[in-house]
Amino acid sequence: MRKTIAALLLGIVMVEPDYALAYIDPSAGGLLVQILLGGIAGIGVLVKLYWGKLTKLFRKEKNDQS
Amino acid sequence: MTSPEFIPDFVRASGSYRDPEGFVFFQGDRVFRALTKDGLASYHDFRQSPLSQWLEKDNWVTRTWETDSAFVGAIAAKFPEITGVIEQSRIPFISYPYEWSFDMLKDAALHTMDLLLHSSRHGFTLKDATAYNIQFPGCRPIFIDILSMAKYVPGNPWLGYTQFCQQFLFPLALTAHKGIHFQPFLRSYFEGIPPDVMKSLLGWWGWRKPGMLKHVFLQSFFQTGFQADNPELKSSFQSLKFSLDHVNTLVGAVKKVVAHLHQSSSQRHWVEYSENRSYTAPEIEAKQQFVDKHLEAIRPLSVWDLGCNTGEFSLIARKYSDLVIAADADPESVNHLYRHCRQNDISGILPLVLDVTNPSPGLGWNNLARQGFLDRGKPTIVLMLALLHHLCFTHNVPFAYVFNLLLAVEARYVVIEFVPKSDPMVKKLLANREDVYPWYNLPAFETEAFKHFSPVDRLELPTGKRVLYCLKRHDC
Repeated sequence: MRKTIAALLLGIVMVEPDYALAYIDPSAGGLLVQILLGGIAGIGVLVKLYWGKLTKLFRKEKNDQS
Repeated sequence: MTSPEFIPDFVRASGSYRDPEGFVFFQGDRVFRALTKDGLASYHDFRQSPLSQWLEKDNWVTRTWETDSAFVGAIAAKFPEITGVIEQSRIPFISYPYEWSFDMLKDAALHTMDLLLHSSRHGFTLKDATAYNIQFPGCRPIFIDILSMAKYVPGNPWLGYTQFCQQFLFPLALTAHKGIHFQPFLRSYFEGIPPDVMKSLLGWWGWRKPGMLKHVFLQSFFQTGFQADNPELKSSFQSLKFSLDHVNTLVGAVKKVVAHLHQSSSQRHWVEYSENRSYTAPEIEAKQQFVDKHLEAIRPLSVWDLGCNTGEFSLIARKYSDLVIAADADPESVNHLYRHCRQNDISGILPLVLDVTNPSPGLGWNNLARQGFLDRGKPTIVLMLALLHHLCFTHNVPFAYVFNLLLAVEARYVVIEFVPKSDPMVKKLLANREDVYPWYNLPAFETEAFKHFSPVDRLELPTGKRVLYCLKRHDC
C-alpha cells in the first residue's frame, strides 16, 4: 500500500523487475546518481530511501531499549 | 564452403566470457563472434538498421559479416547454444587502455559517447561502456564489440554509466586534475578506478572541479550508503522509468566534462629532453640514414621501436612497415607522438605507454583475460636506439637479459645502439653514483650480441663514439 501511494505521489509507473540487457552491474551508486540527475521524481525516490534508512535507525534504537 | 575441420584450430578468446549473448574466438589470424539466438537477433536488428552501414562506412565500428551455415554448424556442434557466427575485420595489434596515452584514452572516451548519441537516434544503445571495446588500428579509435550494440529498452537507465566513469572519466580526471598518470591505476584496477578510490585520490577540494561533485563524490557517497542487494533499493529502482532522452542528457553532460579535460603540462621531461642534444647534426643524419637503409632492405612486417621517445625513428619505420609499435615508458612522449599522428593523419604507428623493464603482464581471470605485451606479437625487427645505456645504468639490466628478451619475442633483426661510458649522456647518468658496471664495454657487448645474432652492419658515430649495429638472428 505504502509503495503504491509513493508511486502515485511521484507520478511514476512500475516497470520490469530487472533492467533488460544489464549483464554488467550498473552499481547502486551509479543508478542513484542517475536517479538524482533525472529530476524531481528521482529526488522523491531518494528522499524516500533516506527516510527509510532514518526510520530503520530509530526502530533499531527502540528495539534495543526494549 | 568452410571445412568442418576448422574446429581443431578454434581458440576461444580468454577474456570473452561476460556477455551471455556470445563470445569471441579465433581461427589463425581470423576473428569471429559466436552468437546465441538472442545475440543473433540483436545483430540482425543492428544490420537491418541504416545505422550499421553508416557506422561501418565512416569507420566508427569494425566491419562485420555473417559466415556461412556450414561454419555455424561446425561451431554449434561444440556449442549447442550458438545459432550464428559473424566474422569481423582483424585489428593488427591489440592494445589496452593502461597502455594508452592521455589523448588516446580521451579520444576513445569521446568515440564511445558519440557512438552512444548517434546510435540513440536510431533507437540503439550500448549495453556496456568498457574502454576495452575500443582499439586503435590506425591513429583513430574504432569500436570493436558489435555485440554491445542493442535496441534501447524503454525504462532502462544508462547501464554503462559507472563503467564509463571508472574506465574513462576517472582516469582522465586523475591525470588532468592531479597530474597523476592513470596507466598504473587502470592496470591494477581491472574494472577501472572505483568511485571511493577516486574520491580519495582527488582529495576533498576535488569536488570543485567540473563534474567531480556529481560523478565522483555523489556516486561514492551513494555507493557506500547503499548495498546493491538492498531490497528497498531494488524496489525503488523498479518504480522508476528512465527514457532515452534522460540517458542522452546524462551522456551529453558527461561528454562535456570529458571534452574539457586536458593533460597537465607540469610533468614534461622526456618531451623536452632530447638525446639528440648529445649528437651533432651530421651524426643525427647518419643515424637516420642507417636506420632507413636497413628498414628499406628488410621491409619488415612489424617493427617494435622500444624506447621510442617522441617517435622520430618510428616515423621512418612506417615508410617500410604497416605495423610499427612505438613504445616508451613516458606517457607524455607517447602522447606527443599520438597527437602528431592524429593531426597529420599518419597511420601504421601504434604509440603505447610501455616500460621495457616492466611490460604489461597477463591480467584478469587466470591472467589470460588480457594478454601480456610480449605475447601479443612477434616483431620482424626491434629498434633499440639510445635505450641500452638507460636499461644498464638505470635498471641494472645485464647485456644477456637484453638479448634474451629479443630472443623471447622472436625478433629476426635488431637495430641497437651502444653508448660508451665516455658519452656525455652516460656521464650524466653516473654523475652521482658509483660506477659498478665494469662489464659495460664494447667487447663485452659484442660478445653477448654475437652469441645469438650476426652483424649485418655497423656504424660508429664519431663524436661520442656511439656505435650502431644492425643484427640478424643466427637461425634466420
